[in-house]
Amino acid sequence: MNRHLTLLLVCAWLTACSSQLPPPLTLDLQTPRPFGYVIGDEIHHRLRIQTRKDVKLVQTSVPAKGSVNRWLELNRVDVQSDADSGHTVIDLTYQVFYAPNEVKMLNIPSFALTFTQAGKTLEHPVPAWPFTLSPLKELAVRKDDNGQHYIRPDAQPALLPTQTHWLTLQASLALATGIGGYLVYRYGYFPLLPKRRLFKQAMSQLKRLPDEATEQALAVLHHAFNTLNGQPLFKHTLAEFYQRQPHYRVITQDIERFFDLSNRVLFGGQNHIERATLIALCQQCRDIECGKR
Amino acid sequence: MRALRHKLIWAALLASVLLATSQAWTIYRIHHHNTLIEAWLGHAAQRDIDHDDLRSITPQTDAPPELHLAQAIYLKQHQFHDQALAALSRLVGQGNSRLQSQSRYNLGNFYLSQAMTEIDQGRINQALPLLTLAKQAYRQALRLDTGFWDAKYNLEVAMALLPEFDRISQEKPDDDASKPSQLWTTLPGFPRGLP
Repeated sequence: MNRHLTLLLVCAWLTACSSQLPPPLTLDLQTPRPFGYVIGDEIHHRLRIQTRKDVKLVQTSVPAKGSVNRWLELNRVDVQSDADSGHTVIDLTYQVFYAPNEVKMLNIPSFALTFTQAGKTLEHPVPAWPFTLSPLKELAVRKDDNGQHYIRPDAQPALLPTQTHWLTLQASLALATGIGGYLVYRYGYFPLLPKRRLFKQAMSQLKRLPDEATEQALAVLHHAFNTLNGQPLFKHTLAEFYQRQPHYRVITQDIERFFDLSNRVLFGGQNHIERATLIALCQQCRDIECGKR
Repeated sequence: MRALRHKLIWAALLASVLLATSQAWTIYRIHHHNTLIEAWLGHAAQRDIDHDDLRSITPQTDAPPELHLAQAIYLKQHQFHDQALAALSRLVGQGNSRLQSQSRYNLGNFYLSQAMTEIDQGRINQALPLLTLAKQAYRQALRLDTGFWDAKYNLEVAMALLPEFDRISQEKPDDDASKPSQLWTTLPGFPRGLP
């Protein structure tokens, strides 16, 4: 009795173990609709394979890209394997070049995938896949108005697009206009912005004055500095001027020399000065006004 | 720093002016090309270009492939078959996938039209290689663009004119799945430009 009971238990245990083991591999062929195809159409097949970790797919058993038979080509083969999960996806894209006279049933041929497991080889068939192909033209020969066989006309090229170039042109012109406007502003060519043209006007006045008009020449430069400062500028107020117009710090010494010279002429009795000195200072101020310095 | 910024502003102005000039020149050239394409396709009134000019103009090698394709259509329509074939040959490997597909399709049309002319004149033997070449060209076009309906239709016409049969064999049953190497219609090494 005990012996029978033990045997029964062992059998039950073995049965339970075997049902828990997954099969070595499962293969699922996913296919599209099997009808409604015409010549030149592509057909996509996807093979989902689940294997145990010790079962490996032999890559060379996957169909190779190229001609399968007279009317069928395999255009793309994509194999993606995940060794950890044992999951493999094979995407196959076929293209049909068969010209049926009526709706015809064809088969994508079967093939076998090879796997290895512990040195042994397993083969698993992938079944053929039947589908129907329809004709595009009527069976009777169709003629055109000239009595020639009717065929579709030549493909005409599209006109070359210019939209991108127009957009780039507009953008670059807008940019050029913007920068140009900014430079015009910096150079003081806008008549409504007199502060940007102070030293430009002073320069032209200096050049027009005769050499002996020393005091007038000094007055021209003083007027420009006063206008820029917003109030009369003296040597002892230069520090405040530099706070308001910091760009002029780079020519501090030249400005101070100008005020010394002005004092000597206006209050010290000096009669003659080099006009070039004034013009050089005016030019430096003009450069700062334009943003060059 | 201020001086550097000032120079950069001038550089930006110069760059934008140069860019604008180059774009304007490109637009002018494209406009010229499009005028030629329209003239070759017969879409526009050919005011400035007469028939002889249209025939003799040869686009430069680096010209857009659309020009070669339009010229090939014009030459074929006006029965300049050799020049049309030369223009189509220049297109091999040029342009994007769509244009390559179109050029292969037009090449197929060229061979198919020639084959039909031969058939109408009773010269079947001359027509057979042309039909094979036409089918090849249509297949290439369809490989590049599987949704090219005109290529599908004309390939079916070509295949109706020259059906593909499997070799009859006593040992092996006749089926549609035999390898292409066993076909009657394989014509290895046939000159491409015939006749």
